[in-house]
Formats: sequence, C-alpha cells, structure tokens
Amino acid sequence: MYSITYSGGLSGIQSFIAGVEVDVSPGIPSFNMVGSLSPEVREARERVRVCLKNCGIELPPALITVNISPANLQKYGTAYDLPIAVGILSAIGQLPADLLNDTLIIGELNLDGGVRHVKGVLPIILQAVKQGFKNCIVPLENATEASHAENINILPVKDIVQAIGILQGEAFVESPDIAINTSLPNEHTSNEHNINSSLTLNMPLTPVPDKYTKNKITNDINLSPDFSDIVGQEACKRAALIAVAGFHHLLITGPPGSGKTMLAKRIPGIMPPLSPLESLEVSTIYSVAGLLNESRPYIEKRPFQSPHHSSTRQSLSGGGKTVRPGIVSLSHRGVLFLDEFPEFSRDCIEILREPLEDKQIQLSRVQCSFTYPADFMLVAAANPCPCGYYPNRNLCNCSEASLIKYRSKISGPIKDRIDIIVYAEALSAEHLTGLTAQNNNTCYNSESMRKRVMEARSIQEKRFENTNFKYNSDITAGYINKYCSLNTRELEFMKNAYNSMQLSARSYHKILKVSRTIADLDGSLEIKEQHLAEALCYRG
Amino acid sequence: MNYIQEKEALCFLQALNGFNKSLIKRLFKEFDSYYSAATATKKALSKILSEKEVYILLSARQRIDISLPFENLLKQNINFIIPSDHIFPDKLKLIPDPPLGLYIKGNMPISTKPSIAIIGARNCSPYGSHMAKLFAREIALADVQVISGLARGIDSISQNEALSVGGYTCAVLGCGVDICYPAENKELYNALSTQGGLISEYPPGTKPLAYLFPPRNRIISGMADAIIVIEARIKSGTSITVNMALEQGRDIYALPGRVCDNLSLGCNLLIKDGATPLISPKDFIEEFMKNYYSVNPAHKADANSNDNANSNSNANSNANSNSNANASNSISSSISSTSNASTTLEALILPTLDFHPKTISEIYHSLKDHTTLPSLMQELTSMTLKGKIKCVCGSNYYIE
Repeated sequence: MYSITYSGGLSGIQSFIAGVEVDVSPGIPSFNMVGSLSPEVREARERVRVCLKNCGIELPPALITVNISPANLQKYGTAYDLPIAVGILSAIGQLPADLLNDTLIIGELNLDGGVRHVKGVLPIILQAVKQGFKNCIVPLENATEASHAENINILPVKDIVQAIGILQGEAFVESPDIAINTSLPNEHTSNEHNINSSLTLNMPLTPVPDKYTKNKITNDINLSPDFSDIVGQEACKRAALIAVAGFHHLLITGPPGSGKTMLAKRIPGIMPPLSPLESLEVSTIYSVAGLLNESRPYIEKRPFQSPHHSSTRQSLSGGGKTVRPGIVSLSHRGVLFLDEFPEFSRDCIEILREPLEDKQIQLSRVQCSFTYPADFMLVAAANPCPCGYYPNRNLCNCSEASLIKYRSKISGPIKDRIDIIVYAEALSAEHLTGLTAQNNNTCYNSESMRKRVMEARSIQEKRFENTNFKYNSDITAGYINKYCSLNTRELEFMKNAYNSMQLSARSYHKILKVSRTIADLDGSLEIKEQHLAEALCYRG
Repeated sequence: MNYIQEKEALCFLQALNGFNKSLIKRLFKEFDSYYSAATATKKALSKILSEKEVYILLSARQRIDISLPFENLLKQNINFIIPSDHIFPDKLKLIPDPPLGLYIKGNMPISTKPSIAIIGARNCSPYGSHMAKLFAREIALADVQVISGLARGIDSISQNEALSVGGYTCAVLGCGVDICYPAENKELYNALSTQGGLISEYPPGTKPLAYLFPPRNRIISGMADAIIVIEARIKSGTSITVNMALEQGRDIYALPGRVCDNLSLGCNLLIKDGATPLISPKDFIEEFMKNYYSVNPAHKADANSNDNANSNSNANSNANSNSNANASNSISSSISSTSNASTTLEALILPTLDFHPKTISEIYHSLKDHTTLPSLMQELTSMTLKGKIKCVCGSNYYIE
C-alpha cells in the first residue's frame, strides 16, 4: 500500500520538485515522517490527522510512513500538508493513482479541512512546468499568482474536499461551506463509507470560474507620482533622467526638505515597464519572500524599496534561519532608495558592495548557500553635512572636520560605484508659489522622460547586442575605450579636466560612462565635449 | 639674583603639576624672586601653599635639578623668554595681566616692526576665506607682521597666505608649542616653526584644553598694533579677542558683510559700535601705516634704515607691491571680470554668481530664458576648468 504524490519546495530562490511517498503497512499504529524536515513540516502530521478526521476520514490503525524526497534537501514551509493527506488517501486506496503522477499538489491544511495559502508557489510551479507536470492543485488564495505560469493547468482549491474531488476525476468542485464534523465518527460506519458519503452528498459540479484565469498584465505606471509635481530642481530631474537611462546609481545630496525623497519616489515611474520575463523574475522573488497575496498576486510594477535607516544588515542582504530574500533582492529590477544614506550603519552600507558589483547576492550558511538576484538601481539621499545646510554658512556651523567625518561614512568603494551625484537646492518661497505654473511647460514630466529613457535604452540594447553588458553603467574598465572612445578634441578636454580637477582613474571612467549615456539621450553617436562637461557636473 | 637662574626657576615652577599662573604670581610676591621661591624651605612654602602643593614642589626638587626643565627646552629647540628679555614684546608688557614668560618655537616678531592680528570664524564662508587671503597678502607684502592663532578657518588661511608671499607670521597657541592643534594644520605648524613663530604662555606638553584658549587671545591682541576681524558670529571666540583688544586699547577693524549673513553679523555690529570698516586692503594698509608711524615715529626711522640696509629685500617687496597694485583692487575685480567674459553665456552667468555658493538649478532659474540646462552645465564646467568660478560640495558654484 504505497503511493507517491508530488509537491515542491524552495531552496533559496531555486525550487525543486519533491516526491511525497506514503506507505501504509500493517503494524503498530503510528505515523512517521522522514526526509530532512523542519519543525513546521513535521507538524504536518498532526494537521493532516486532525484535518482528515474532521472531514470524516479516520486514519486506519496501521503503520504510516511518509518520506519526502529528495531526502538530503532540507524542507521548509507548510506546502506539504495537502500532498501528504492526498498521499495517505491514495495509499489506503481511496483515491485513484492515475492523476497523481502528473499533478503537483501544494497547500497548507487547516484543522477544519480548509486549504491555506503558502509562499513560493510561483517558482515551484515554474519548476513543475519544466518537468512536464500537467496539473497543479494550489490553494485558492495562490490561484492568481499561480496563473502566471504557462502550460500548466491550475486547479485552485478551497478545501481538501475539493482537492479529492478533482483527483477523483471531476473537473471542478465548488464545495459547500464546510461544516466541521465535531462529533466523533460513527463507529458503525466504515472509513470508506465516510469518504463516499462526504463526496457524493452535496457536491455540484461547476466549471473553473473565470476569475482565476490569468489577469492581463497591465502597467498602471500612470498611477505612480509624476515628475511634474516637483517644482524647480531641474538639475536633479535631469540627473534622474540620465541615471535611469544608463542604469547609473544616483546620490542626491541637499538640505533637508529640498525634495530628495520626492525625486526618488518618482524614479520608478520613468523606468521602462517590466517586461513579462522580468515581471516573472521579480514575482518569483516576492513569492519566495511570501509577499504575494490576493491583493497583490503578481508584480507588474517596478519595485521601489525604501528601508528605514535603522534597518539591520540581514534585512538588507537577506538571511535568517530559513534564508529569505532581503531588501536588495526585493528591489531587483527596480529602485532601492536609501534615504539619509550616511545614517545607515556602516555594515549595512558595506553590504551593498557585492550586489552593486555582481548584481546578485550570495548568502552562505553552514548547511547551504543561496544566491539571490539583486540587480537594482541605487538611489541614495544624503545631507551634505550633519546639520544639513552646508555650504550655506548662514545656517551651517559644522566644522570642516565634522564635514569630513560625515562624508567618510559613505566609504570610497561605495562612492566609486555611484556614478551620478547631484545637489538638490533649497527651495525658496518664489519657487513654491511663482514657478508652479511655468514648471508644467518644461519637458520634465514622467511621460516624456520615460520616452527619452526608452530611446536611450534601445540605443544601448543595439550597442551591447551579443555582449554581457546591458546598460552603459555595466561597461567595465577594459571596454571603456571600445564603447566610450573620444576624439582628439575631447581627449584634450578630458586631459585638462583630469589634471585640474584631480580626478582618479575610477572617476575618469565614471565620467566617460555617464557621458556615454548623455550622448545616447542626445541621439549622438560620438561623445562630444558638451556631454563630458555635463558628466563632470555629476562627479560630486 | 641671577637672570638665568630666574628663568630656570620660572620654567621649573611652571612645569609643576597644578602650579598655574596665579599661584606662581603669589609665590613671586612672597619671595620676590622665582629662584628663591623654588629653593625656599618647606616651612616658608607652607605659609602660602597647600600641603599638596608643597609636597609637589619639594618632591620635584628632590627628583630633578631646578635647571633641568629649562635645559630640556633648549634641547627641543624651544626658547623661553621673560619680560626682562629684550625680545619680549614691549606691547605685551603693558597689557593688563601680561604673561609671566613665553615659550617660543621659531622667531619672535620684531618689536620695532608693526604687527596686525587677523582673526575670524573657524567655519568661515568662501567670502571670508577669500577676504582673509586678500588682506593677509597685502599686510604681509607691506612688511607688517601677521599674528593669529593657528585655528581652522580665517586664522590658518591668513597665516598660510602671509607665509606664501614671504611675510612673517606667528601663531599664539592655546597649548604647548610642541603640540599642533588642530592636527590638520600640521603643514602650517611646521612652516611656522622654521619661517615664522609659534608662541605660547603654557609650558610644552600642555594639552589644548578649552579654557586655555580665551586667555591666549589677550596675547594675540596684546602683540598686535591693530586687530582685523574678517568674519564672526555674534557669540564667538573672536568677540573675546575683540573685547580684550579694546581693553588693551588696540584699533579694531572689521570686514563688513551682508546684513543677512550670520557670519558677518559680528563684524557689522563691531562697525556699528565704532570699529573701522575694511573697504580695501590697499586703503587699509595706508591708513594703518599713517596711524602707526604717528604713534611710533621712532620706528619709521628704523624702517627706513632697514630699507636702506636691505635694499635687496626692499626691491623685492617693492616689486611685489607693484605687481599687487592691481590685485589690491581685486575685491571689485570679480565684478569687473564680467566685461572680459569670453562667451555670451559666460557673460550671463558671471553676474548671477558671487561668494555665496549657488546650485546649478538656482543659476538655471535666473537664466531660464537664455539657455538650456545641458549647455549651462557645459559652460559651468568649462568656466571651472578655466578657474573663473569655483565649485564646492559637488555642484555649488561661486566666484572668488
């Protein structure tokens, strides 16, 4: 009396298909579970037993052994409840085995038989598609999320009774509200009878409702705030445009209340919409982190993460006992906004080094190591000095020493990776009152900025065809001369700037990369002096 | 009573832990000489000193020779002078509460030459820093000695400038002369110990403690014939120096600033209270020299004879002052430079800038109808590269 059902688990962002084997043999009645199980998986035993009892199914007095394979991988989470229950029913011959072979089953059980949502459904289903599974039973709450996987038949269930119905060959069963069977099962009726009665009693057959079919991907970028809301700050808006166009990291400095945060919040709105593939990628991360739910079943907008500066190292990088993705991974393909950048602990800032360089983060624990993607655009905001008003000496009485100390909180290696540094002005009363009307006439609204970004990006796509690079900011030192070649006149200009502004080799490269993006925005094939001159303004 | 013995004894007493100025003065009053105080019997000392102080003195006397602290000074190339020394500034003897002695690294200012103290805020603005340079340069070129305090900001800026044109400058410290405070001025400190002077009334090894600085300000003003204040907030160390200078009867000059600038508020109030406003370095020096020689006619003859003797240096300083005849008007030069702008955009940008740093966006707002943002940025960069404008804190531009 052996059966096997299939479920799935997560190991970092990678998912695997797990076989849930159940064996029911004569012997001293007991219920054992093996296969590198975490406590929450082990607890499935009690949930399954009580749940089945409350649905009117009494487990036979036999030796029940459950093995979740591959046994060497640690299993976390509660997705195994439903497959275990189904497996037991199959092992005792209550369910036909024919559907189980190409059906993936995911779901946590309530004691009353209800099926609860679990996290990480999307990557597991994507893995199942790869391995040729045809059907997938998921909790109802995960249905919309799951529907984004193609080529698999998603079967959402509200409770275990529906799942059983499906596996018995019925298309879709809308179960009545579950009445918990609180009374002990009738001693005279056999288990078999119980199942049959509960399944045949009042189960009308209905087709899969439309509401679970895949939502059309809509990009409601228009809902995000618009750059035209910002008064003044032309230099910052321009810097934001360039930063997004070339995927350069951006640091906005400026006095308190100058609108640094406002600027940053508008940046995702001028990024090109997520492509379906990117969307799937981001949703997978969110699914693993358990951040997808019915109100947000799928990520279609560019993520924007703005952790508070008291955030811990682990929350940024990801981690914990069951390693979950951190903020850097949750901002994958979007914006990581760090307000009050120097106020973050040094540890937190330094953690960004690897993701900024490799666009992923590797987390190693004793038993395993996980690699999460972290390809984000860093937007940092900082005050120029502890009081915030430097160089306005009317308001700022910070000493040179304290300025240096404050700035040194952002270490050199991190600063080197930030290509664009821009200063936000303090707004005067005239700006706030007088200029609002005029401002709407300028070219800086999100719509037109996004258009220009897309144009610049398409130039970059062509340029980097068949290379490892995607954006101008990716260009490594060895390829600078290939992609950012200068003419004699421009070389002379840069030589002059290099000497008189005392640039370092790294900042020289930064300026070339940024000027490449500016030239792209200009539609210019060559980097001209004006592009270099502008890039020099952003060196910080 | 031997002059050397006196010096050694004072040095010995000052090096003792807890023997501050008032205590040593009390000893001097009682024993009539430092040497007899230092060598007095326990019984005699107990009359005016506490038990602990007597113990400190006696145990030190047992441990080392009285002359040792002074000899150690000489080994460290530090000179120690007392008012009876001829290089001890005469002006300093006349102030209320003159120092008992001065520790010197480098050279003392020459007492027959005029000297001016330049003081001001530590966290100065670009305006203050530029003006400090202008005035220090003109003062040093006029062969007037610059006295200041080696502090951050105005002090070190003006002393650096005075040194760079070959003038004499000395710093009066609030710590021992063997300690460089603030540490970031190490280069200036080293230059002063050879080309200028480092002066302190505190024995070497004294740490820069906050309460030591206000008293040293009286030495700065005491050694100077006039005080010029470049930038000061209302409540500041500068105002302490000014009060002491007034007590000592020194002339006060103050650099006027915009009435809305906090850093100029102190100066503007000084002017309101009667300080002479500094309008141009050239005029200031002329007026100062006239006043100085009318008070010290003997020094004028001195200066002349010196000039004759060192015709070489005279020619030098003449050449310098000639070449700077134009520079002396450079307060207004930045404004007139508008006319020699090389491009039209530059001609538009220059009038919008001054000593107060402006962001790119601010400049853009005033030139919105004439240019686009990228071309403005291009122009700003090329002007920065040409040295016409300066840039602070990323992209805040100003003119010097």
